[in-house]
Parts: sequence; C-alpha cells; structure tokens
Amino acid sequence: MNFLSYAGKRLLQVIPALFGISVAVFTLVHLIPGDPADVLLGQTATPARTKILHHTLGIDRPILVQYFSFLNHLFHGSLGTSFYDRLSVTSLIAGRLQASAFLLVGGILLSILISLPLAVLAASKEGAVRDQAVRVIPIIGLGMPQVWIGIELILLLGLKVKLFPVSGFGETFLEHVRSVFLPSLSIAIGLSPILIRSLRASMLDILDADFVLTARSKGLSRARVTISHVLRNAIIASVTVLGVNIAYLIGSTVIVERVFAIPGTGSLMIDAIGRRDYPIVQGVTLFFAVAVVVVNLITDLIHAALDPRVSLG
Amino acid sequence: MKINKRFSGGLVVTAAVIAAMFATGLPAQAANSSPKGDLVLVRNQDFATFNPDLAQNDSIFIQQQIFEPLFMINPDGKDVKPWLAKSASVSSDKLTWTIKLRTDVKFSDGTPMTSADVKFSLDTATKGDGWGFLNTAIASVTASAPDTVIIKTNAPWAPLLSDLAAFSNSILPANYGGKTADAFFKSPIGTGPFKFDHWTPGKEVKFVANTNYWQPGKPYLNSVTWQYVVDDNTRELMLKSGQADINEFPPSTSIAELKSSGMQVTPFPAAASEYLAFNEKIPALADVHVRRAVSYALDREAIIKVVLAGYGTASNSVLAPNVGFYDPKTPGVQYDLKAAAAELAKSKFKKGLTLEYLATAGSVQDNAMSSILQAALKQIGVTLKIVTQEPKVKRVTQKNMQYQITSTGWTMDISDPDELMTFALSPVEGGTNSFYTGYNNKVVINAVKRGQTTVDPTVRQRNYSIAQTQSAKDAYMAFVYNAPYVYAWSPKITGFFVTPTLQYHMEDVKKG
Repeated sequence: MNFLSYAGKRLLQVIPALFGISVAVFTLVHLIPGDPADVLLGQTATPARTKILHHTLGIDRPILVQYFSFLNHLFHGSLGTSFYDRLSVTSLIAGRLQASAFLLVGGILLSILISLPLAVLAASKEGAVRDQAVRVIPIIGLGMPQVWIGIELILLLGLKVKLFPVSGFGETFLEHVRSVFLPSLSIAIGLSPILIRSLRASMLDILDADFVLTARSKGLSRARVTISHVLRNAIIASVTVLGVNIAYLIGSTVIVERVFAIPGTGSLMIDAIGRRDYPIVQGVTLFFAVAVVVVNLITDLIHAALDPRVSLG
Repeated sequence: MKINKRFSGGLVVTAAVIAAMFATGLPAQAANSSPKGDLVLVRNQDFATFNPDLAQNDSIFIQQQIFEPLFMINPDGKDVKPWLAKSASVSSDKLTWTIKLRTDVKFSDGTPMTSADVKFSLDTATKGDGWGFLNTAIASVTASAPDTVIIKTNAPWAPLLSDLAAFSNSILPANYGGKTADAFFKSPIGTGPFKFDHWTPGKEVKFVANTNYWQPGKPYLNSVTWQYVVDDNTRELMLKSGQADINEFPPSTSIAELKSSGMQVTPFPAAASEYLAFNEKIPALADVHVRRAVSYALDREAIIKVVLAGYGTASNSVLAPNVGFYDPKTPGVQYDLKAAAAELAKSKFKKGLTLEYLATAGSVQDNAMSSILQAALKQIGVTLKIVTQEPKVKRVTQKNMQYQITSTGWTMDISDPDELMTFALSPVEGGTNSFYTGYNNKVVINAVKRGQTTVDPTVRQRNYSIAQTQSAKDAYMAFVYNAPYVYAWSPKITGFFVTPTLQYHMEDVKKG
C-alpha cells in the first residue's frame, strides 16, 4: 500500500470518529450550566429579554433540531456563527490559526534544536558527568509551571535585555518570528526533557547493536557512526514521542497563549467556554480533533519513511 | 416652554442654553490636522461588536470613540450636557421635546450629520432587543428640520435626556449609509474623534484620528489601539516595557509595584456598587432582623482593605455616591457586631441559624467577603456555609432564586438613577424581581415610579430619598462598597480621564 492510499484510508476512518466527537461535544456543551444570553445581556438580562435572545440565537429549539442544524451547516462547510461577536466560526478559527501554527512550529523546532545535541552529548558517554547533567537539568524545566517559565522569560529577555517583545504577535513575518520566540521557548523548555530522555535511551540501546560495532570496525569516524547510524535509528522512537506531544500541544498551548497574549486557537476555545459560545466550542473542538488525527497520520507516515520495517496497511 | 434648570433627571439646564449660545457663536473650526502619538490601551476584555444594541462593557466604551450620542454624561457622572445636540426644550405638558442639533458635525467620511440620521438612529435603537428598553418612553421621533428633532413621549419622562446620552442611542448615518447593518458594523463610520482602522477578534481593535471631527483641534492622538490581554502580569509588564500606554483595571496587588516603577496610578470615582443579595424566599431571610444582622456583621472596611488594597468606600445606599439623586443620609447598615447580635435577638432565630453564601469560584472578592462574613457571623451564633460555583453557573442559580445570600453588583449605564432603581426595587416593572431578591415594598415601588415620571428635580430627590432610605432600613441587600475604576498609565500620557459611567474621552488624551 502506498502513502496516498494509506493516508486516504486513515482519513476515511476519521469520519465516524468525527461524528462521535460532534455528538459528544454538542451534548456536553449544552449540558454545561450557564446561559449564553446572560453573557450577552449582562446586568440587564431580565427573563423577558433573555427569552427573546434565546429565540434569536435559536437555542430555544429542541436539542435535536439544534444538532441537525449544526450538522446541516457542517455539510455546507460552515461551523455556524459566534454568539458573542456574531462572526463566522470558520473565519474566527482561520484568523487564529496563523498564531497557533507559529507557536506550535516554533515550539517544536526549538525543542528539536535543544534536544538533539543534548541527547547526543548525553549518550556519547553513559554515566559521565555530562550525561548526568543532561539527564537532570532539563527535568527542572519539566517540573516548572509554564506560566512561571513564561513570566521569567519575559522579565529577563523581554523587559531587562529587551531582545524580544513581552507579548503580542506582531504584524509582519519577522515580527511574528520575534514575538513567538519566547512563548516557543516556554513550550520547548517543557517538551525538551521528554524528547531528550527518549532519544538518549534509544541511542544507548542502538550503540550496543551489532551494526554499530560493524560500522566502527570499518573505521568510520565516531561522529559519522553517531549521526548516520545511531541517531537515524534512534530518532524513529522519538518521532512517535514528538507526534504524541504535538497532538497534546494542539489543545494545550492556551496557557502560553494567555501569558504572551498570543491570539491563538487555545485562547479562542477558553474564551468561548467562559462565554458559553456554543458554536465556537463545537467548531474549535472539531478542528482540534481533525488536527490531532492529521498529526498522528503524519507521524505514522514519517515513521514508515524512516523505518523500512514498518508497513503501511 | 423653555426649561432653564438642570439636565439631571430630564430637565434642560441653564448650561445647555449657555452651551447652545456659545456653540452657535463659534466659527466652524477644523479638527486636528496633525495628530501625534499612537496609544495602546490593554484590557482583559475582548471587544465584541460595533452594534450599540448588542454592546456590553467589553464594547461600549470602545464604540464611543467612533459613535457619539446627542448628550454626553458630565465628568461628575450626575448630569448630561449637549454634545451632538445644541439644546433641548420641553413643552408645558412635558410630553414633547424639541432637540436642536449642532450644524457643524460630520461623519468621518465627511457627510454632514442631520436630523434624518438622528431619527434613524433613535428609531433603530428603540426597536433593539438589547437596549431598546431604555427608550420605552419614546412614542415618536420626527425630523422636523435638518437641525431639529421632535421627540414625543408616552408620559412625562424625567430621564429622557439621560437616556439619549446612553451609548445605545449613538448617532449613526441614516440607513447605515446605504449598507446593510452587518456590513456597516464591520466597517463603521461615526461622528466620534476616531475612525475605524481594523479589528482583529481576540487581539485588538484600532482607530485612527478622524480629521473631520467637529471639536476644534481634536483629537490629539494619531491612533488608539485597544488590545485584549488576559493575563494581569502581562499587562503590567507591557506597561513597564513601553509596549502599552494604559493598563485598564490592574489588580490591587500590583498597584504599589506599578507606582514604584514610575507609572501613574489613579482611581477614578465610579458609579458602581457591590451588594450582597438576600433571597427573601428563604424564610430566615424574609425576616428583616436576620437581614439586618447579616448586614451589620459585614466588615466593609476589612473587605475594602483585602480586595481593593484600600481603594474604595463602604456603601450606604443602593445608589453609588456618583449617581444623580444619591442621598448621603441614607441609613445603610454599617459594620457593628453588637447591633448585629441585637438584631438577631429580635428575630425568630434568637438561638442562631445556618445560612449559605453562594460565592463565585476563583473570585478574590467573594473569597474575602464570604470568609470575613463567616468569621463575624460565627461570633453571633450564625453558621455561614460557603458554596462556590463557576460564574455563569452562579448567575443561573441567582436568577432562579436558588441561593440564600450571594454577591451581586451594578454599573450605571446612564447618569439618571431610573434604570437602576427600576431594576433593583420594582420587582415587576424592572423584570428582575428586585435583583432576584423577591423584595417587594409598595412605598419604595411608588417612590421609584414617581421619580421616573416627575420632572421636578426637588420632587424626584424626595422620592429617590424615600426609596433609598426605606430599602436601606429593610436591609433588602447589604450595601457593601463602592470601588473606583483604577488605571495605570505611562508618564508620557496626559489628559487621560474616565467618568463614573466609564466613558473614555480619548479626544482629550495626548502622548509624548
């Protein structure tokens, strides 16, 4: 089975999953106590005005009717209209995607840039001081709350050194890159320890393999053996670990988004829950679900590309 | 009949006539042709809409940089003055108001504002599901001449000019300038000091100077950007780093630090009140002595110290001191544990009782209020159980009157007390069962009604004093505190001021 047919099959499998997710999300969001009309009407929300607004928003209809209306919109490529700012949910998600993508890609790139050399350094001599240091120091990053890491980075690199803006996303590509550096670093500080540990352990396993011994006996340099033979094989397991963590990050960058005032999809979701903005909650959840499935699919494909033993089927 | 008293409560004031004379005598002057400085204001609320009928606090004060009403709330919050209007007069039967308009006002696209725009705007506002209720007294609006509008009311209506000063009665171009409402509110034009530049939901809304603005030499700023930044620490750091110029509502815990770093921190008096509501459907709380006992046990000063870092004053009335017809002599219960014990002794619950306080989960204010009250009530034999709910869930519980004691509040939308008094004290007309307390006192209800329909300010004051005094004696709510609006801003900023009803006159602000 080639990549395309494998990817197509995997995407078809997603359809029932998305249907299940849509039912679950729709039901759960309507089960949350609280009234969107209250948010919109504020302190002057009398029962009479609340009733009128329920009708305007269409939330006075039976729940099944509302669900089929949601599905109908979905089949027509629409995720509905936000209760809060009356804008299309699709356009709101699209407007936030760029910031989230920058943040996610920045976080992943920095995680890789931090993890690869440190894992290689640690695995190059098991038990040495450098190995112990690489194993211990990143763990500190894992144990620190992201809010705290973010604020400390802002204080140091934003406020004192003034290398980066303390918050926001900027307007141009370069400003985006500069703006997401600190938040991406916050993510990387949390993600790198996991990658380092995984990569280091895989490399140590592979260093004992026969083919590594063969490569060394052929007189290949230590660096070439490490990069061409050890790292390439060790990275396969880490790709899976990274994939799982990216899927997790898609819905969990909200804390970093909030601290750095990055207008991403995580903040959109949290605000929508607080406002009981059902169309946005439903739309963003579905989007996250699709994104997680796609990331898992890409992870599998990369895994297969790196490891010929893995078959697509 | 020409009226020459105060505007407050709907009467045309001498100031209006003077302002009108002054305005007509002024030669037409241009707005500022070379505005300077780009200001960034950071806040923890996301802008939601340009449609005044749909606006809440997240959007109202931002919209007002684009749209303006006929009358403007005065800096003291108690009165209104002509703004896009030049003057107002009312007929002898108090049913017909003649509003003269300024003739030098243009929309930001250069189109002159006329009575057709005013009629369209007021008619549209009156039909609105959101804030249309403010205009229930308006029977008709007629554009009798390009600079004159006639408004007829269903009955004598004292708060009319205050109602016209509400953001929901802002003046928009007739027929939305030929666009649909949706299209217009995506790229609005108005008569305000700034014009729309862009809006990025979840991030910011930006305005640039309106070079057609009618106030000579204003605005001073080139642009104003309102940025949505949820995290308190981030807003503080943005201000310190120069990335922001004004921080809206910094938490009280950060005020000392902001001051020490050279920022200006000012509490502006607010027309806002915090209350503890008592549900009179609960037998114990239907007993006025129990309500008084709880209210006496509330150490307001301690709460102000903990919650507001000392910025605030204990409240004695349903009205805040910055609201028209506030009566400083209102006998609102203040902290006195002996009096609390004495009141409890007069009740049917002499041997003590257990009550429940419904608090907002994660609220510093509710945590402090409930804990301080719990400790005090324990001393007089009342056990206070504290339960918490997520804010929106709590709101539903409150509206369904399934609580016993809970915190609530009010921020004035207009300068006249009518809206609040009706909501808070007229259980049927206000539509909220007196703030969901079940309080129903005919003396108070009648006084509120007379305050609404009598245009004589002396008579209105008498009636609003009766309503304030009686509701305080009945301790239908515990009046807790009046907190100011606290802002921190860069020393580069001058002229920044916020009215008690939270209007920002950004046309007066300079940077640099």
